[in-house]
Amino acid sequence: MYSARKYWILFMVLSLALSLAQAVAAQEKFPGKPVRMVITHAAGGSVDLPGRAMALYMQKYLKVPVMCENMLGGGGRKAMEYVFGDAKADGYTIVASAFPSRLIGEMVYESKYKMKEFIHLGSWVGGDYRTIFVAKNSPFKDFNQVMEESKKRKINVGGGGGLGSTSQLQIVYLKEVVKLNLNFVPFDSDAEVAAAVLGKHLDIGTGPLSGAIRVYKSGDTRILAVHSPKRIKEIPEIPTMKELGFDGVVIPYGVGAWAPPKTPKDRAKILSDAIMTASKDPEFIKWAEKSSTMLDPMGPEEFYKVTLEDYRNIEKVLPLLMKEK
Amino acid sequence: MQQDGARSLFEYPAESIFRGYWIPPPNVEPPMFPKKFKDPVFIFNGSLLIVFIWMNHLADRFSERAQKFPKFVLGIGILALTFWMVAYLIFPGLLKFIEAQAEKEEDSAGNRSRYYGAWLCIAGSILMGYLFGFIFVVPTAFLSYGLIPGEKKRWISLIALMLVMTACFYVGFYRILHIPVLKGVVLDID
Amino acid sequence: MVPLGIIYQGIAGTFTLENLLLLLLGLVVGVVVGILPGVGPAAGMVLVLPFSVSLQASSALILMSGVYFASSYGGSVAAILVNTPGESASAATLLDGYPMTQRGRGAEALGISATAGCLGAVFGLLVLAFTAPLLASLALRFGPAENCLLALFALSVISAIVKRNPMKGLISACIGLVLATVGSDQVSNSIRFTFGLEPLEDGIPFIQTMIGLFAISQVLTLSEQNQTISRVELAGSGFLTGFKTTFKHPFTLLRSFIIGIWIGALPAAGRSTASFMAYAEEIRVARDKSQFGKGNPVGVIASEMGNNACAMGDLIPTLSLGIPGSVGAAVFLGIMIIFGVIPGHRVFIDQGKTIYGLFTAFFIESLLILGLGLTYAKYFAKIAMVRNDFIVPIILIFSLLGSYTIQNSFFDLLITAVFGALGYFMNKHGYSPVPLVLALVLGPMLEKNFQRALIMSEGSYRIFFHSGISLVLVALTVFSLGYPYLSPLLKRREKHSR
Repeated sequence: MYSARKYWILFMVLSLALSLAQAVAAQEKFPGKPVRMVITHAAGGSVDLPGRAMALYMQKYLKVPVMCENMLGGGGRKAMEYVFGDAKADGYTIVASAFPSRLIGEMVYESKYKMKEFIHLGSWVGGDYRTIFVAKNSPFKDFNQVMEESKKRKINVGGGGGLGSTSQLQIVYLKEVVKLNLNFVPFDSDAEVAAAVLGKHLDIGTGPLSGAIRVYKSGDTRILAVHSPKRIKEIPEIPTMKELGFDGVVIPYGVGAWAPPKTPKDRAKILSDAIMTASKDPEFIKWAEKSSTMLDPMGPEEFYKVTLEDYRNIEKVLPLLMKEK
Repeated sequence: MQQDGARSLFEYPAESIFRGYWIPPPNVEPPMFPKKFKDPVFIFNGSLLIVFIWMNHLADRFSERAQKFPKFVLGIGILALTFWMVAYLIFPGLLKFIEAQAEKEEDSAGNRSRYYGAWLCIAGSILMGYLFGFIFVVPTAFLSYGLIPGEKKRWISLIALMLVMTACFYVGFYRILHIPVLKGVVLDID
Repeated sequence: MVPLGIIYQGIAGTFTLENLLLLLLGLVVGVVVGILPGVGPAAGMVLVLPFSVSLQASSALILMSGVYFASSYGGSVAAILVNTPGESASAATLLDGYPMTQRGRGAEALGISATAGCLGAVFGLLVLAFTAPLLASLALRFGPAENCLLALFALSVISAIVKRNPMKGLISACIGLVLATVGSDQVSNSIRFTFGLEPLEDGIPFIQTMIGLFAISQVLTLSEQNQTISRVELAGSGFLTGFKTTFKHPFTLLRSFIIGIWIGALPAAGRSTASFMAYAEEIRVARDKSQFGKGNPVGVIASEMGNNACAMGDLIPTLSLGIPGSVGAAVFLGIMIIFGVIPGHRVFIDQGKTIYGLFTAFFIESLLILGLGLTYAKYFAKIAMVRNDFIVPIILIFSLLGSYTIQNSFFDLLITAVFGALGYFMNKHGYSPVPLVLALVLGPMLEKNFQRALIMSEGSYRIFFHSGISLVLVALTVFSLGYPYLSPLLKRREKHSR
């Protein structure tokens, strides 16, 4: 019908005009439209939840929504490579992920992204060091007993996460630096490792502090040691690997955000400030406490320094990691 | 020259030599040889056998631990397929015995051209989505499917539905869920 | 035992207006999310997360529970009516659910789905509420060797399913097992069969494959035949018929329930495993196996009961140990932790009010879903009568949409198209897709645990015969492989000796 067609044309012209107007408006003030936070791992996981929590609080200070998008693949590689090379560097796309795992991934896989070249916006989760734990009624009362036993037979050690993860780094450290005589049994997730340890199918298990603390507090496991520089506040009775005589096996773990290398500096600063302010937000801190997430916020400069330091440390063990490939 | 149907059986070879290709006499049954090879199940099983053998060869390059399972499974598959091929080509009776319990599936008459049309629709929708952004899958699917010859179409309601769905998708996915639907290789409106 | 006072408080706490509205919202979001192929409960829960930040723990969890629960129902609706699995666990439901729709019994299938689902949830809740810690510690006794044998047992059930055409069934299973090995093998750190395609490094994506195998192949079949999904609505077959039919098969319900709860309790296996195993088990014990795949209500009862019992079972290790029993449960766990509900055997006492409030919410939800189904199933089922040139593009669009939005990847659409071609071919020429799907689901579990067990035992195969559980599983596997072929022989001998 003739008149109906006129209305369709009018409708289409209007919507086109509206979207153009919005695009123009977005240029004027940053941020003028939603910011996209790409998350390297699956929804609900240990990388995703801190990412989403930060996104929620960030948007309070940015005054625009921060939309999270899970981009899975290659153990984080896909998302990192995308944000590094393919995404528009206009400040509207950032990536949140764990470190130093992405750094390890870059070096082991010789990937297309370079952590050194990303703009470091800041980190909020930190200090989630790796631990060694056993079942509650395991014959091993402390780590030295494990070392003793390993002289007689191979110790079955479980770990989650694949090549290029902090889990693998820990296993390499245990094998090569601590010289533990072990069989590495890889699992798909830290949860499965915990189940296998509790079921006494493994001698010892490895996992991040946040996970281990939970199962420890409920009384089902005992933590034997932590790969951290100092004793952990929540579990002051657990020794560090250093105290047990094993130096140089500190394995940090944190969650932070980066922006593509060519992002304009002024926009990057706005994003960094939002992250830093959000991490000091009392409600955010309350969330972290409730969820046993360890906070150790770092600003962009400090974060970048840590990355450079991690480069040096991992380069030292890189040949050992590559051996596993 | 007489019409095809009225040619005597002797003229075909001569005609064929003249033309340079074989003209099959109309009442002669096509030889068993090609017919067997045209059966889709045969083609499928045969190609699968070749693929499996090739993958088995590729698996040799994996590390020892990684090889075990794939080679085991491929081995079973290759054995089964070879057994089937032998039965199909040489001992048809054996095949009938194995598949005796299989019921004859009712072969409902299908329209091959609609089938190809459906493929064009699927491929076209994916292509349009890839080039211009996912939202274009909606109009392409409706329009290209509608273009397939068939019964009388209700174009007005079809197009109305298409526009409504496109609008819903745009609002639902882009505005509410913030999933990029206008992003493709050629077009990129964010 | 948890003090009754806490239980009572928990139950009562659910019945506030705010909580009930949240429950309803969660249900609606869950059903919509479930119907959309590829968007599963995890995505749905994450979607409502921003809304829940300002809520109290119990209210937030009630909202989440609605999404967690209803998404499986939504998935079943899509599976039954348009052969599109809304999530991986619904794939088993479509095997007999869609044929029922084709024969005009769509509303009945929806009825069965809702009823079996409701029963699975209710009884699952009872088990969860009263025996969770016990079951959890039993489940822990399944280590890699036992999990491997369990997967083998589940696969061995294939031999019963394909008795009709063993050669094609075996080939179908082999294809599935080979496909399961594609991708990076975590245990041995090598990348297998990716042919240089980077997106394949994480393996063949499961839901996209299901969508192709079932939904796209249906698109092709429907186009070719230029028909509506179902030509006629069978008189006298409606939601209530489905409701009644479900109760006519108590043993099916029992068997599938046990399988579902147990698979849920095992952290290593998820809802797709549970629903397929329950389905396969029904075929194994059925006398007339030929009706499966043609619209046999028992098939729908089994897969739905298995699925929902597993959903509750997944919460067993999640709540008792903090070890999530599935992806959906993992998101649920993460959200529980955010709201301060820390799992462990003390959670029932420390957070008893919240936990029992949650259980009450699940209970109400299962009844609501039943009611919802009763009211609307008729109308949902009318989809089967929609004209060919409307319904086919719609199914196509939703299938492609589902496949695409999981990873925003066009490569996944190609995978879907390829499997669409395969599915169409297999349907037309008598290759059952069930072994392929089972193999794809169970292959990784089988191989990974096999490798892990061997690492732990340093190469000795004795680990597979070491524990009581493993011996039982080995015996069951041998039995299930051999019985379908030996039993007719045994029966004949019996007849002769009389």
